[in-house]
Amino acid sequence: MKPIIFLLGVSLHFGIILWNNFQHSYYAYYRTRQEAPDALTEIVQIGQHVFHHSIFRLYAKISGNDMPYGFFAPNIGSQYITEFRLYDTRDSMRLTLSNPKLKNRESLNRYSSFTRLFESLLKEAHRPDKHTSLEQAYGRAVAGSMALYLGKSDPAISKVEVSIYLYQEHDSLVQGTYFLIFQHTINL
Amino acid sequence: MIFSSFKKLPFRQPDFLFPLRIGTAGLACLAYYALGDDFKLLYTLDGPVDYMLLDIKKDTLLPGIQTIEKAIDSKHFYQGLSLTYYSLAGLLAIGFATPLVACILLLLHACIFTAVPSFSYGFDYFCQIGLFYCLLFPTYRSDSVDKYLWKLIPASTLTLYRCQRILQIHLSIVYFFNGLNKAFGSSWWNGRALWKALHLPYFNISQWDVGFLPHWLLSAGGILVLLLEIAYPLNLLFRHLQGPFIGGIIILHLLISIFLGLSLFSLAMILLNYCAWFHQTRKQMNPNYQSPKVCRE
Repeated sequence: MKPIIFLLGVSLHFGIILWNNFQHSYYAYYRTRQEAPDALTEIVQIGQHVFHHSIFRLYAKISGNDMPYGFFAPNIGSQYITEFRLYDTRDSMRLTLSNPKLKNRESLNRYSSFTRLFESLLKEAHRPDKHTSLEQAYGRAVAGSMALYLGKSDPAISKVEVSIYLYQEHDSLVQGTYFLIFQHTINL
Repeated sequence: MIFSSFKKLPFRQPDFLFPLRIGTAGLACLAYYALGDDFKLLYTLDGPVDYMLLDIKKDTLLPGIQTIEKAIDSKHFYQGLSLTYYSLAGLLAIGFATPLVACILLLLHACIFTAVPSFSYGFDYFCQIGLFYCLLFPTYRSDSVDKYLWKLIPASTLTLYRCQRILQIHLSIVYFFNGLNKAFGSSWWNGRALWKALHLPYFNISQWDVGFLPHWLLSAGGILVLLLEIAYPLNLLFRHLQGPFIGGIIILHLLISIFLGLSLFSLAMILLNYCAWFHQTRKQMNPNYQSPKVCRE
């Protein structure tokens, strides 16, 4: 009985891990080719139905396997850079910050992961005629929240200007370039 | 003379459970310690991003640490949290009440670092995987306080073999899928990915300039990374490949640490690779295993 339970447990453990990664790779493959998924669609649907159950999701969450292992894949993503300009009551710039006062290297790693949410603002910058989506509204709210926090941290500050840039490499592979994708001013 | 007397001591061949438990406890401590004062900015209610906004992205299965902070509503919450977290990591390191401590630390780590995934990255998940295996594997049977208190016998050869095999298979899945996803894009084949990784503003704090490197070298580096990752599962089948492959993977993680500044992530991966492939237990026999006279399950 014991070996059967062991085998079942191990199969379930690796089944969840393999499913999470297969699913991610499946969609990554079609996304890279810019095509709609058309192979194994029934199997993917059945898998999604089975593994979407909260017990499997909770197990994956607790065991640290709810995220696929696709770091920097298929490409190294562009980084989104934030800039906060703090102005005093005489409208002269007092301070420029690139993040909300983080001091450690490890915090910056986490912050760079966090700034990926501003990808939604890039879509907005490319198509200004389109309606604002929920994700774009979320990105704006987060940028505004950070600006407000920095503004309130010093009573002498009356205005904060937040800018978000996309860092993309130049075609010549020699020079980096920053593209402004979002700018907003908050008056305190 | 001293050396020869040491050689006579009845040392048991070390198994992988001991470095796994100690290393994971150390990683958990570092995860918390490395943030320093920034912890309050990222993971408490006083952070720069409004808690309500972060809560939208939260997984509904586990409460985030901010939710717990709000529920407890104490001004000493942060100090209490630090004390609890470090104490649990310390108890896990010495192996006291190991399964219980590993379980609580795992849940606490998940609530702090991965329940609200906005500020989490690869390291948090691998640290959690390490804690999960500390709970699942009989780590309390390897040089722990539990072992001496309860006079526990060491884990059997078969158990050690099975546990290490699980870790090896897990790492093979990690590297294989990571390499496979990279292979879908063109940038890892033409060297652009490596160039870009070395110039990203948040990672390239040391301002490394690799503009002088020839293009073919960056391409070769990218293809080598793909090869190392996709072919990693071959280590399960061919024992003679393990030396060069695992050596290559460890060098890769050291380079990631130096050039990208992802030190904790690299440390976690090196630890898991060390535990998976060093101190390997043969299924057939373990000449150093001795059945003790006193045993209590």
